[in-house]
Amino acid sequence: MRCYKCGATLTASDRCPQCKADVSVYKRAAKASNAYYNLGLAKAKVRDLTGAAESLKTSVMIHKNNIEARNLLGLVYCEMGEVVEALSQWVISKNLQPDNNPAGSYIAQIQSNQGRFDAVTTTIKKYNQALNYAKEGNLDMATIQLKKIVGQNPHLIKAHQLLALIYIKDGEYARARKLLMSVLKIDRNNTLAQLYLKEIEEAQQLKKKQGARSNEFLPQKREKRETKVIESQPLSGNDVILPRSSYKEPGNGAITIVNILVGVVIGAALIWFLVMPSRYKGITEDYNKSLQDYSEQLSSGNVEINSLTKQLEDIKSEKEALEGQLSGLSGEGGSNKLLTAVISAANSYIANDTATAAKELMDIDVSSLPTDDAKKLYNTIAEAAMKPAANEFYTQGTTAYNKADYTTAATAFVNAYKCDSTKAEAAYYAAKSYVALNQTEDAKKYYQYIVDGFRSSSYYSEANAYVTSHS
Amino acid sequence: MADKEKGKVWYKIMIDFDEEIKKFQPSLEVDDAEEAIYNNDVPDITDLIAKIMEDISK
Repeated sequence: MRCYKCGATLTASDRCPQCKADVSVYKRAAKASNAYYNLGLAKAKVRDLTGAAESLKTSVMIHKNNIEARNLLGLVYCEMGEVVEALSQWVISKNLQPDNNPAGSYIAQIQSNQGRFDAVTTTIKKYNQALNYAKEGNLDMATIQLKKIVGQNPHLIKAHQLLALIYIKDGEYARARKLLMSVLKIDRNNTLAQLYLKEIEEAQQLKKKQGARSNEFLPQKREKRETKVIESQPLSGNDVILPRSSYKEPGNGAITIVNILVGVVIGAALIWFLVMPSRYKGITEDYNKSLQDYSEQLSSGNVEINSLTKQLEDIKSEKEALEGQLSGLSGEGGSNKLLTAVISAANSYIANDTATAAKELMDIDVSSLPTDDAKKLYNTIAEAAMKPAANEFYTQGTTAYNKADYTTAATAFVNAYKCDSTKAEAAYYAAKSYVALNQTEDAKKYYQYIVDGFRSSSYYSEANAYVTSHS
Repeated sequence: MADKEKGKVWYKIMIDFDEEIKKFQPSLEVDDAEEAIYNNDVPDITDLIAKIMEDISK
């Protein structure tokens, strides 16, 4: 036991060892709570659930922190079918004492079987509905509901009691008695069940007496006249009078078998003609629906494929365009490559290597340079390096030509012409070298330069004759 | 006790249905459980005793 003030563990003394508060009255109240708990426990052990519940409620009312009493109260409620009440008590108990509390395991057990819990809570809801019906006077609906409830939740004592009460009102004592006996199996001293049973017995005894008394007043000669004296009970509103039928069952077994066979054949025919067509129709409809669904999926898939194909084509053309741009930048005539060549030419020029600088520049078309600064640089280097380079190449070409090395000569003369396009002799001897090499097209090309650009030169007539003869 | 009309039922019913049905109370449902748990925090007798002792000591 703990002190109500500071929570310290109490000793045998009437004062708290920690805060020195007077705990004598508090201890007496706690002892009273324990006494009620013991009483409740004893009743619960002999299945007097109603009595146990009352004692335990008193116990927790005196001392709400009496965890054992609260847990047992939950168990009693659970046994009486009041699962939600039980769960409430266990939750409160767990809240008051989180550690070392069996209430935790009770709650876990309930939660582990969620399906069963839902079923039981549904019966409680239905019971409340049935109670409303009964209070409104709608006893038929109440009866229907309660019959379902007692089947689904046999421990819900209240449902049994209410249904028994309705049966008693309708005079269905046998059914009422059965329900009340099942209540007493769960809750041995259930007051209401015992009261109703007592009422049923008294009513039935009274009924017997009334029945016996009414028979005494029947005249004797009437009894003698009756060949069959049947002591019948007086009719009640529920009794139905049926006329005696003249139908007799056939005694022959063979006819019975024939009847059975005929019945089987008729049944089979009914199934074949009535049930199977609708079944086939159902199957066909399902099949058609599946087919329709698949067709829709297929068509939506095709639409998606078409859209993706178009996207792919768009992406491909975009890629090609980007590749074109990229090659424009870094390809043969790309801006990057051109600028690199100009820079390289500049470096060679700075190093006084005009021939190399000219070589770097001779294949560049100045108009394709991307910036004005690059063009200016090109022009500066070209002005200084091209002409000397052209002369150098021409000399190299002449040397090679005289040695009959026409391949080297052709290359040198071509370079000389590239460096200085005013050098007619470079074009002339390049063409001559190509003629010697039997490269007619190249020869024609350089002769054509002379025809186009050097009409007044001494090489014109030879060049013109060659071009004309090879056109 | 209620008497029913004679000729139909000729015994006395001890239980008055209307009175008995009033005694039946609805059961606690899951939706109401939370409210019930919160409302359970009422003082018990030991709380009352503690309060009385406090008032006395003041």
